Amino acid sequence: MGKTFLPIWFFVGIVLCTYGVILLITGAFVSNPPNVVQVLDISPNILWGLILLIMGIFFTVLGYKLREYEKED
Amino acid sequence: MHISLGLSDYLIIAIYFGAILGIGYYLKGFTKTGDDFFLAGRRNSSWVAGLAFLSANLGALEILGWTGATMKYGMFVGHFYWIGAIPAMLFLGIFMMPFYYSSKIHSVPGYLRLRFDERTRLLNAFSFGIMTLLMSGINLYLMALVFHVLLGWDLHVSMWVSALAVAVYIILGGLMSAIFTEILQFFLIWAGLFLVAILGIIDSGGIQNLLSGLPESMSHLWANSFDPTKNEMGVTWAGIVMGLGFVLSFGYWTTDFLVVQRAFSAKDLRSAMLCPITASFFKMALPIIVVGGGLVAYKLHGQGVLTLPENPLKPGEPWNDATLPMLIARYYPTGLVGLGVTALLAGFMAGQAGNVSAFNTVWTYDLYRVLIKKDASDSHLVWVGRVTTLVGILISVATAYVAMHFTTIMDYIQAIFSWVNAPLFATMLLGMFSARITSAGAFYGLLLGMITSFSIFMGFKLGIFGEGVARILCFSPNPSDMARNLWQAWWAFFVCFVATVAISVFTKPKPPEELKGLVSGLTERAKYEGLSWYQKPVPWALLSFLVLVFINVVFF
Repeated sequence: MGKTFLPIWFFVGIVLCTYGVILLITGAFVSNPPNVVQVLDISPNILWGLILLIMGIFFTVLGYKLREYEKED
Repeated sequence: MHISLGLSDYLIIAIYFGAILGIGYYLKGFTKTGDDFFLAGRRNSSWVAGLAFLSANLGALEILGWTGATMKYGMFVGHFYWIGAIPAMLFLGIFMMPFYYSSKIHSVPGYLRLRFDERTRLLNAFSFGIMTLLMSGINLYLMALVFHVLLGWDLHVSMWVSALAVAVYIILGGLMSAIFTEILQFFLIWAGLFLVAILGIIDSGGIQNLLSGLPESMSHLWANSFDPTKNEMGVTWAGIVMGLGFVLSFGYWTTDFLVVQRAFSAKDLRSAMLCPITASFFKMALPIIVVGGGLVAYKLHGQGVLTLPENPLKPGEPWNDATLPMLIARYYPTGLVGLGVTALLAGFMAGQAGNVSAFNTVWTYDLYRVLIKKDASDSHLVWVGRVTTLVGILISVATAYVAMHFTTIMDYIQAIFSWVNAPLFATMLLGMFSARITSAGAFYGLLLGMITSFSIFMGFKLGIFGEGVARILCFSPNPSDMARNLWQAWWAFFVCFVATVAISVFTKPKPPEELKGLVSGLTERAKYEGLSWYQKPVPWALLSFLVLVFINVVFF
């Protein structure tokens, strides 16, 4: 493999970002079904969506930076 | 009982399929040579190889199965993640990886060829290939069954869609595709399943409250292991240490090419050694999901607020494998349900991709190139690897259909692992650490070990062996099925070990110059000049071991 390809962290980041956004939108606009037990004061979709979005941004940037680093190397 | 999915759930599942197929297509442009296709170009860092190493083991069925088993065995399930994994992973990284990696082999059977001879390689390659494809087929069927019962998905559609998706991205990108999707699976499993265990633990009033509500027989790791009647698994500490912690665990983690192949893809020896060590930390964390989720379900089941569906394979019995999905249905709203289902789907498919990528390597390098076309060019081998991937997937699907119609066959197929890997560990251990072990000793010892394991299994299965034999083999007055499985592996190892040594005494070993780089004492030690302590494998292995000891003391 001569060429430098995007590291897996970049793809992981993109997928987590996308899932984070979907969960945030779902949490904001779709109410919980009555059969789901509410454990937290906040919607789990919003809480988890935010965490996935932050992780996703981190891994996307990490993947991109690693590729730049490998190119220079 | 069906879990209903909403629009965002389906969207999350669709994005997963798009991502894995897109990754496969993207990697196709970087997959040209045999090393690219079968060894991912040998360019991975210890993080990439390590997470893929763990993910190859982290099938969805394992997570579902052990979460359900926690409802039955309690904290004892932790043994399968701690003593039943970590010592073997560290041993592989520190002591065995230098021989594997330095010999620049493509597969574990390839090492057997260099260290011993062609017949030992072929024996292992055939048995590994058959085991891998049959296991892949069984997993495919069980995956479709889980989604059919819990989500109402059609069995045939589930099997064909997931199998063909795996075939496409492995054919395109080879091992690198498998590794990329395995790492994606690792993150999805944590993203999709970690929260359900946390919500359940909060709902149960915290960890202390959860543990204090358990019966004595389920609430400790070791305290109830001195008497097999005092724990739900019916095993003693000796069975756990010798059968699980030593033979089964070492047999799997150090010789099963499915996981070891990921370490071969590392960019250098240091990264290859760090690969299983890195994985060990995440392996130790998994009981948060598996044991945590299982204990929450046990408590809820006792309160009558969580019921399990009927086992489709054993009518009339509760289906413990549905424990985790039932928790998802209880705690997750639309959106998170899709993420949880995607985590399971990713676990199933990455497991299948792992099986197929290991199979295509062993078939191409250890069978096709040896038995059919010795002078095959590199590009021809890549072509064979791609064709083998498709054929392997089709055999898996065919096995899944056989399992669908003859469900009892699954007991036999799932037992193949201990027939193949338990004795192989004895062969590897002796071969790597003693130059005196001969090719004849290795071949006949391995064969006898496999026959021993197979005979014990069939003896009990067909009723030839009674309780008296079971008591002798298991050193226990009332051995459980679990105890029999653990001791069966031990006896296979023992027979292989003794036979290999005995035959080696009377046969001629290879000259030392042929064993350089393959055996301890004839292999140069790894050197890490100019590296800080935190960049070396040994300190991390020690830290991992200390964490293991700490966990076992806390939950003793």
